[in-house]
Amino acid sequence: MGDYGIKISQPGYSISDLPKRMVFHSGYANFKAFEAISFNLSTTGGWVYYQYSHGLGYVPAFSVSAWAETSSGSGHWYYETLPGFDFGSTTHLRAIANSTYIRVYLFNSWSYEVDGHIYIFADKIA
Amino acid sequence: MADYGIKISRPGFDISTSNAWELVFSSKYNAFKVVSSGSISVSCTTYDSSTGLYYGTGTINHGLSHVPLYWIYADDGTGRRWTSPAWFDTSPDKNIKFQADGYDNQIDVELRIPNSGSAIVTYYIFDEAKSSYNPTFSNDYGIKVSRPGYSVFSSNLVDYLFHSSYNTPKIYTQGTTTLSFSDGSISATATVSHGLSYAPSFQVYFNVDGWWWQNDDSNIGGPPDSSNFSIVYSDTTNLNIEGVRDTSFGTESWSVKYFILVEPLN
Repeated sequence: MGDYGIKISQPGYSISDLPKRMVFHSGYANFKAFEAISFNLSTTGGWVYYQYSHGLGYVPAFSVSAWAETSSGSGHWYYETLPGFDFGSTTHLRAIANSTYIRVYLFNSWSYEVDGHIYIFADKIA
Repeated sequence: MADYGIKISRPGFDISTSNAWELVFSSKYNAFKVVSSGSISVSCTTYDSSTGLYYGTGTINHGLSHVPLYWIYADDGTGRRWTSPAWFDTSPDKNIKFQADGYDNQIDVELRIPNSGSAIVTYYIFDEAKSSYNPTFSNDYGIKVSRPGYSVFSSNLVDYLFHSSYNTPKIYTQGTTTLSFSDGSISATATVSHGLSYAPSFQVYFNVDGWWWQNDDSNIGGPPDSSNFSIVYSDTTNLNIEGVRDTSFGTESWSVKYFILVEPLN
């Protein structure tokens, strides 16, 4: 690859340094997030899911974060980024996608509520 | 949206006709901005008889006072970097339990690793957040692209699609591979040689029955394939991918899409 294009180095590093020292390097693609969807999920026991129709016609890369108050009204938040949803041992989340939808699943044996964001990328999985 | 702004296509692709996923960069789309990154050492010296692993905890004090999106990875002390959650104890040489739980000012890390010693946990925290994020910019120069309708002088980082004061995850390479399960086996593995001299960060997705999910562990399960799970780690040579299915009967294939990033884990 020729040494041309746009490069922005991190403070203190030369523009000729390794790619991992660059803030931006046009030789390497960025994840391009085109949409952030807010969701709310609540269960009274068992699995439930939130479904979003992304309408892309292909399966996009995605990332999901979710949060719940550590106790009701506390103003403090317990949060997770997928992969990594566990919320302790009693609450589980997972997210899946196909060429039409992204779903976020929530499980708890009792009542539980989370809010979150789904970040959908222009970058293609399939 | 009008066709203006900064666009960079991949070599061999026409900038005027390329699809979004064929572009290296487009100012039309948001670039995740790394507002904090680093690593901590977690001492894992307490023997846990229930798992046969060595236990330790650590705290990442990000001090952001908001709920951010983050990517986090742990070195289990043998040079393998795993994503959270990792709970894989079906094979003795892969034993690890790794869970990272976030709060509004810190991330708590819980680790169990095969040998007594220290584990390195590397994190990347992004500006994408539960609510607005107003950092104090250290400088006001460079390349900035604001969202439509927002000023390039905004003090709120989430008003920007790109800001050169903040690192962005860069895709070193991407591709697909297949996990091929043979009759009589519940697991299948695939290895991708990355050619870097360090263990890189990564994002991996699996396809079973038409749905794609990110790697997760046996402790989560859930629809649509509650008993299937997967685990991924990188080392200085390879991206190592393993799937475990809910049956050993018959042959089966899972498609895998991987993104190996420039951002290092060591």
